[in-house]
Amino acid sequence: MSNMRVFIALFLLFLIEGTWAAIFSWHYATPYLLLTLIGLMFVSLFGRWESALGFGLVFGLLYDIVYTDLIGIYVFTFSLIPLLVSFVLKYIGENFFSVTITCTFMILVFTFSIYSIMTAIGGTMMTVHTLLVEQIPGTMIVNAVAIAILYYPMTRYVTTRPAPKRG
Amino acid sequence: MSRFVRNKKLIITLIVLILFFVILGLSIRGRSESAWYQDVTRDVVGTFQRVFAVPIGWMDTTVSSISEVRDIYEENRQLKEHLTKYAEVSVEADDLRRENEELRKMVEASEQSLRDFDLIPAEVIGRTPNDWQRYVTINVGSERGVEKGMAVTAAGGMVGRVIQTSAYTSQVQLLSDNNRTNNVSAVVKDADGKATYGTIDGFDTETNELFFTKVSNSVKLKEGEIVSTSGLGGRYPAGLVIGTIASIETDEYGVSQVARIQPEADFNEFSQMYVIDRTLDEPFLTGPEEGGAAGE
Repeated sequence: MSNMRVFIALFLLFLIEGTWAAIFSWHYATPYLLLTLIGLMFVSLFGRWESALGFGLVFGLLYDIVYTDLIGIYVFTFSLIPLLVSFVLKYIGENFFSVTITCTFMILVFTFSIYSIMTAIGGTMMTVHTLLVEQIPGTMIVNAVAIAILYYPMTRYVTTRPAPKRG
Repeated sequence: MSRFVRNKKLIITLIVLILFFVILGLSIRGRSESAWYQDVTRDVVGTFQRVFAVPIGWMDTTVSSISEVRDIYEENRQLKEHLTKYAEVSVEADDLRRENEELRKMVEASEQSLRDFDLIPAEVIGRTPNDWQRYVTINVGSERGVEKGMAVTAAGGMVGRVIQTSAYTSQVQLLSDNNRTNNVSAVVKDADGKATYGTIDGFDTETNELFFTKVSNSVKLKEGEIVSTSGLGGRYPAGLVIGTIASIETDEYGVSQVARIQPEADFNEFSQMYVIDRTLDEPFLTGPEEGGAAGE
């Protein structure tokens, strides 16, 4: 039951991500909103990490099938990055600022890992300079804002521990 | 957070890692055709995407039309100017079409030409949320007659071509996608009607220009000339406008020319697209499958 709720939330984020990209894309410094990944990180932080891994595999596969035509890249990163986040934040402690900063940093890690995989398999000809100048700044800012906005609703929504119910 | 078991995580991570390489390797092999599970997933997700894209697209058009109101006066003035020429041109076009038909009859050529096509209207329902692949998902698929390799236009110019279709959705690879397999056979015609063939290959994100490559050094290109599809290879008709030449340079080896093309269509501002269905099926017995028309 709870898993279904999380699935619906993640699926909505997944759809918004594609629509956002269709509307807010321009030639230079397009900010990509990585909502599915953000959602998965919240699940792994405030829910059970096993379910985050499961959802990571499912949504990674969905992402690969629907948006790209290479299967594996997003399956891999979507399942690994949320685990990494929960691992790191275990030592730092979870509060609004540490979560926002760590998750934003993980977006950076994510972008670089996708870039290196794409370069390795010859799927992109983008240079590191282009990546740093065009992609990273806008993406980082937009995602940091998205994480901050989603923090309270998502923590309430995905927490498996008994928490004060809304409304 | 639940109990933290480090070893368990490590093992799972390793399994995921192996799984990743296996499926990546498997999916790289047959990339051009979409598999059945991709079709099914895309159709199912496409239904939900449509529910999302319709209201958001409507809002987007409303906002952009409000901002366009400012330019309407100037645009209207220009359009009126163009309209005076329109009657003249359309009469001429009618004459030429009739003449063309008569001539075709005389030489007993087929009624169909490379230029004939049908339009399949389509709406954008999603886009790949990254810069490595510039793909757009549209809401028509093989059920409406869309096939792999068809050209797609928006706002007057070619924007890309269909690379995969499922029953109700299609993936369009934009011309701005910098994949090395993404090339389109194109042609420039000068004032005397002399054609120069080349290939549209690559996109400069900083200046928003396409590259028109593999043009022989002996040809003299001029700025402002219009580049259009040649109709050779692929499944698109001849005469779809791609853009105008902005500047000309030699390539890195000095053996051919490269022209920078200012594209006619905007690769980022569109919601309505048209898939071009060429009515002529097989214009040539043999021909390059995709792009690759030689310079001379």
